[in-house]
This record gives sequence, C-alpha cells and structure tokens, in this order.
Amino acid sequence: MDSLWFRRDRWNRDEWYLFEWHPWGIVRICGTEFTASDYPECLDRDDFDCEECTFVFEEPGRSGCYLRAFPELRDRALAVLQGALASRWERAMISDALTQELRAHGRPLHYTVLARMLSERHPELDVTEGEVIGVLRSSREFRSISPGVYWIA
Amino acid sequence: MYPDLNLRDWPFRTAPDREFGAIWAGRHETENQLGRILRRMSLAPRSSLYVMWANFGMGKTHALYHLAHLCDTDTPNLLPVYAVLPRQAKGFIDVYRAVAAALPMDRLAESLKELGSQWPRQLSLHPLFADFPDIANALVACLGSDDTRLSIARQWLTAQVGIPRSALNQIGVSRLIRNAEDAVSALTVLTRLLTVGDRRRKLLLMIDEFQRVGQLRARIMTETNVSLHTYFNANSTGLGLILSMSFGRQADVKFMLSEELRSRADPEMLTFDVFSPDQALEFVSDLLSQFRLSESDNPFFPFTKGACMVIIDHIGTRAVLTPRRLMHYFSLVLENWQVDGGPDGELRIQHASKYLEDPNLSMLDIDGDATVGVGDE
Repeated sequence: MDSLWFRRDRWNRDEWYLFEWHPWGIVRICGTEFTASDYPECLDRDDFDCEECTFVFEEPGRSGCYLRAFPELRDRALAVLQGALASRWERAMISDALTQELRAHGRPLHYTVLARMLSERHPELDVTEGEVIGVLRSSREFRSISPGVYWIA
Repeated sequence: MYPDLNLRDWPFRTAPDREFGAIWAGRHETENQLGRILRRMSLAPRSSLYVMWANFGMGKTHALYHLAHLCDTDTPNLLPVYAVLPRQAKGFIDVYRAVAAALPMDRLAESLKELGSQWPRQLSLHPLFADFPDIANALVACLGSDDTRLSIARQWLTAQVGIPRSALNQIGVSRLIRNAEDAVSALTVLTRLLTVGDRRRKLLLMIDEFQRVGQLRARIMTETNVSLHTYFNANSTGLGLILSMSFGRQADVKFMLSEELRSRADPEMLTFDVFSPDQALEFVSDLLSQFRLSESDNPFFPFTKGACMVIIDHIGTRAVLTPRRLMHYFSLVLENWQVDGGPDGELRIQHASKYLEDPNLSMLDIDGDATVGVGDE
C-alpha cells in the first residue's frame, strides 16, 4: 500500500488524515477500506443519499463524510479505482479471448502460441507475451499443465 | 471369426491399429485424395510437404496407416515411415530419435550394400556421406555379425546419449549425434541413402501428433520448424513429408508451422472434419462390408438400417459424429447384444435403444483430450 498524509485545513496543523491505496484497487481512508469491486456509490453518483451508505467515513466528533467533505480525497480515490477497473477490464478481455482460443483449439497450448493467436485475432487487445502469461498465471480460469502450457480450469 | 455375424473379424476399433491399415470406410473423396497424392508423389521426383489436419477422433492416425498400406500395395517406389512427435521434445534431436527409430534398417542395409558394390573406395568417402561420414561406418557396423557392434551402431544412429568413447571407437565413429544440426545432417544422409539409385524412389516420412509443437517452449518450437525446413531444403528430391496434426480448429494450423514451412507446403491440405448423419451411415455400411465372410443383402447386417440410424441419432444429439464415436457406440451395442445371446436374427431398433438407455453412457465422452492435458488420440 502506498500512503499519503492528507490535511483538511492547510492552516490547521492538527488535522491530518491517512489516505492509503494500492494500484490493484484498494483504498483505505483513516482505516476504512473499500475496493474496486465494493466502493461507496457516491463516487459514481453525485446525488447518492449518504443515508444509504454502508461505509463509515465519519470523523469522531465531527459530522459529515470525508469523501463529501474533501473533494481532493474523493478525486484521488476515484483515480485509484478507475485505474484498477481499467486494468481489470483489460485483464478480463484478455482472459475471455484466451478462453475462447483454448476452447476452439481444444488442446492445451504454450502461452507464446496463445500470445501469437491473440495478437493476430484480437489486435485491439494489443497484448504482449508477458501480459498473456500474467493473466494465465493469476486467473483461476486457467490451469498449468506443464511449464508454460495452459488449459481451461 | 464371427460367422453368426457374417464378419471375419471384429470391425469396431477405437484405437488406431496398424493391422487395419488396409481398411477404409466412408469419406470416398478423401480416399481418392489420398490415392491421388500418393500418385503425384510417385510421379514427380521433387520433394513435397503436405499438412494433414483432423478434428478430434476423426482418424488421422488411421489415415496415415492407410497411406502406408497404399504405399506398400500401389506405389512401391514410396517408402513409408511413420513417426510420432515426442510429447515433450527438448529439441529437434528428440524428433530425430523418433524418426531414426522408425527407419527401416533392412532397407538402409540393402542400399548400403548396393552402394558399396559400385564404390571401390572406403564407403565413408562416398559423396553421399559427405555431410556426415560417420553414418557410413555405423551402417557398416549394422551389416556385420557382431551383435555388440550392431547394438552400439543402432544406439548411435538413434542418437542415444551416454555411449562411451571406447564403444564409438569400436564402430569407427568420431562423435555422437547430439544437436539439431547433427540430427538434420544425419537424417539427410539417411534419406539420400534410402532413395539412392532411383530418381522416383522416395521416403514418405509421416510425422504424427505434430500439434504437440504448440505445447513446446518457443525456442524448441522454432528449432523444430527450422530443422524440418532445413531438412526439406537439403532433400530437394526423394522426400515426401506429411505433418499430421489434430485440434478443434483448422485455422490454427498456421500457428504450428513457421512461415518457411508453410511456404513449402503443398496447397492441397488433407482435412478430416466431422461426419454428417448420412456420412456416418455410409461409414458403418462400408466398414461392415470390408469384414464380410460372404455377401449380404443387408449392408448393415447384423444391424438393421433402423438400428444404425438410432445409434447415429443417439450420438448426433449429444456430440459430433466422429469415426471413433461410431466405433465406440456400435461396438457397445453389438457386444451387449451378443452377451444377451443375440446372434439369432438381426439387431433391431429396440435392441439398440435398450443398450443406449443408460443416461451415464456418454459421461466420459468429450471432444478433445484436454482432461489429460497433453494427451493424444
């Protein structure tokens, strides 16, 4: 996790808040955590009713939510989540394409062959061999048969 | 023999069987294509490379056995050699090992004798062995009556590792066949030796399970492709090469072959795709007719046509129709019918339906071989 101390009021030196985040899409503000798959709806909708929120971002002794109170915090959280979601979306697209190729081929394949298939048949994904092996290794949808050779789990 | 069934042998085989190479059922266009390709090969001296693609269970290995049978019977100037690409090849040397082990030693010995009778000097000095003179010495060792030398020579020719220097000295060879370059040189010399003396004589090298290159590390896959095209280039005449592969999509063939190999391949590709119900019916009647003890009015005997259609329909509604599935299900029904004391009349629709009733029948029946990961047909 990367972290940043954040000050609400530049003139008041006592009010510092800890903003932590991970590029995979985890954000923690003063200990309250949310992720790219489960995050406060106000990040998507300005008209979201705070009464319906299940996250607690209130500062003890004060009223209001950090995200509402500090637009800079909200923007930073949104940037982290959007980055993670874009990368997740790309990985999902690569994963879908790999599943499709393996299913049509009907036999396990070496990741370098899969990377060539994706480059030719799904140029919009613009994948590298490194990205292909990354998705194959990390996704539960695939299993390794022998070094570098993958099949659908 | 099964006289009650009017069959000289059990016609349904689910694994490729060399002894059944003579049998060809259904797919008459493909049968003609195979015959025509062999005739083309036997006519023109130029070397040729063919790619064979088959969907799962479509009988590509049987087709290769059938080609070997046709060479023996119709085109004797073609010498068929069947080899299988090793499952986890570490390099082209492993492919060479598989091919060298399948080469006919008796034919090599004959060719060597023939060559020796026309060459007054030491055989290893013959221009044919210029690329790899040690081959001549190893083959001479194979001709002798010394079993130890014969055994060493065979091990050496098939690129076995760990042969001691003292053993190499016994057969007069200077080094082992240890890498892709050695393997290509050795294979080239052996191919030339097998075809020497007759411009129309050809080695028909059939490499089965070539799809396994798709599971090799990129370096090994490239080495295999490069070595094969180097070997092909080195034998501009006298070689017919068939690379046979099986997977679900024909368009994937290009990912298994380098551009150089693809550019050398004949435009005519051998393909084996799934059957239609009519083709399946024709396959069954053709198959049975080749095992008849005597002529029969019913081409499907001991089955009735209706029973055949029930079995085909049963398979067709659950999966694609392939020769292997047809063999499995027809064999299952016929075996059960026999166990129940059936050979008294014909196997009818109700019998077929009865033996196909079990809902778990096709549980293990899947397309491809992915459950075992890298297995093969």
